[in-house]
Amino acid sequence: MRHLVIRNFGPIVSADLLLGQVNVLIGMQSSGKSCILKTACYCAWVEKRIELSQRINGFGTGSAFIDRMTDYYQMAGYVQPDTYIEYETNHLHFSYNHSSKSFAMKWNSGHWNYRKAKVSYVPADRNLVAAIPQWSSLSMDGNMIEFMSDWDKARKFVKHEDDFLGLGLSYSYDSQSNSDNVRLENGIPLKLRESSSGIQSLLPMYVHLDYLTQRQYEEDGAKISYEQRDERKNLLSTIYANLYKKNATQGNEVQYVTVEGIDYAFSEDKHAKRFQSTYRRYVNVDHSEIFLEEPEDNLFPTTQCQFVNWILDKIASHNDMLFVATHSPYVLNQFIKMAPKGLSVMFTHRVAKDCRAFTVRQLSEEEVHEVYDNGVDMFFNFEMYV
Amino acid sequence: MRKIFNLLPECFVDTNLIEYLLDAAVNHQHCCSKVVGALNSTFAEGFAVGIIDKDKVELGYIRECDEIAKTAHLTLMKHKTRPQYLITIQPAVDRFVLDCAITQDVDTNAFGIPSDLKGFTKLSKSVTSNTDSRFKHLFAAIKDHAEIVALKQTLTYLNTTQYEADVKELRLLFRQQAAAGATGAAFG
Repeated sequence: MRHLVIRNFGPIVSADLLLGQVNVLIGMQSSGKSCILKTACYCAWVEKRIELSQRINGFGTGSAFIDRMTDYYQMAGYVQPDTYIEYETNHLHFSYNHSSKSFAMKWNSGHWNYRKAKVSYVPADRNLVAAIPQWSSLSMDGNMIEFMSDWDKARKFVKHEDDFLGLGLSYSYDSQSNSDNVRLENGIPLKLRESSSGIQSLLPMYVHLDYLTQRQYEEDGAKISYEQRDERKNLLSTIYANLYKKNATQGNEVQYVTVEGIDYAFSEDKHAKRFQSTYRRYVNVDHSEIFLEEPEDNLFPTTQCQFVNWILDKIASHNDMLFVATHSPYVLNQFIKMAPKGLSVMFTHRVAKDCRAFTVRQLSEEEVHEVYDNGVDMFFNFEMYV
Repeated sequence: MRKIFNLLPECFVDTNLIEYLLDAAVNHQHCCSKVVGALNSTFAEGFAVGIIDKDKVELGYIRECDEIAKTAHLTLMKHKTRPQYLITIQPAVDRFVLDCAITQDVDTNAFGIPSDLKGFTKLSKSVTSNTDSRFKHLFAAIKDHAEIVALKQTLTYLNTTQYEADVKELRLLFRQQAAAGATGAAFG
């Protein structure tokens, strides 16, 4: 369960969303789709930061919560005097009220069941990394810089992709020249920047998502900073103090386990194992939470459908969360047709005619079936559900 | 608002007009080939009614239909084998609505809608014309026009009876309007 409430932020006057494992958002241009996607992504990241540090981590200082978000996404103009954002999962609940500049957080019953997520936002302008040779020196917002950094990591790790999406194309990364290369179906080699706009849009998205949904789990443990090491020690001692310490010396035998150089005492072996398992869930990435803008960019409709099938298959192995904003009926209909578990379909719409304020309507499961069974083109008929 | 999924109008003003007449949301398709596609695939052997302009390339689907009745602007057809109906508007909905306004002595400019075909068509092609209240007000002013009444009664009858719809009764509905002496509509 993931509950997101947004009020008076950018064009969104009100949104109250229950997000599932696969979420598809449609709506006209400038109606707040990216605003919702970015807010959801930011909240997922805040949740991760709070869970890993076991404290509110500076988000509680005045308007720090909204300032960090708007700096990162360069959306300061979206903030209104009564902006309100609320986010809840099984693990925690937090809210930010800009009128009182207050941030509140409480743990929920599933607090200790947290599983670490890799949170990633894939922006619509992702093809910059393919089209512009010196993309790493461009001045961009934090979101794009983060994507560029993730893409750089993904391509260096993935190095090679054969026949991606069954299109007969292969990709390789040459570390010596730091270049991306494509081999076409007819065997002709091209630099990525020389390839078609479709490949330039698809490939960075494909390689990055392949890394997020599969390859990252094949990677050896990365080096961690001193700050991260301190954070982990704090996390270990917090988990221990809250779940195991009071029973640690009860019973006949006391067992010691050393984690990250510190000894922890347990009365029972199963407690020691559970403690280590809980800690591993916090420090090792368990799944990805992917926020994806317009996957259809520059793609032929059948490729759009192939992409949807592919990504649904990929996210199934680690129960990744996917939140997609799209303008494509092919993408929307393919998601509905494939009917993945936890599918949520929603659209932005004006609060009133000729009004620039938007809200979001989420379709019920029955309504999603109704749309599919009756061939309703949601892009032309969303008023039906307003 | 009530939803009628098996009523498939093709253009924005058709959608607005039909939603006004039936006081329900209908399943708008953004071109006539989409209407036919929905009739052939989504509804396949099921009951459905398509409403399209006549001025387009003649669709193969029309050749699979028999004509039931005709007015100056409207032709009602039934598919030879399926419980599906098609209403074509001749030459197109914009001319149809303007002609109805003329015979009802209604000035469309009074509703903020141009009275010349070019201006009317330009406005009616806007994507918001399916919800534009100016058109709703115009439809209210011309709702008693014989062909508008025939369209409303036919759609209401079809939506009510669906698989049990009777071709003779449908033909009668059109002729009753002719007999009522409504102006401006030539009935076949």
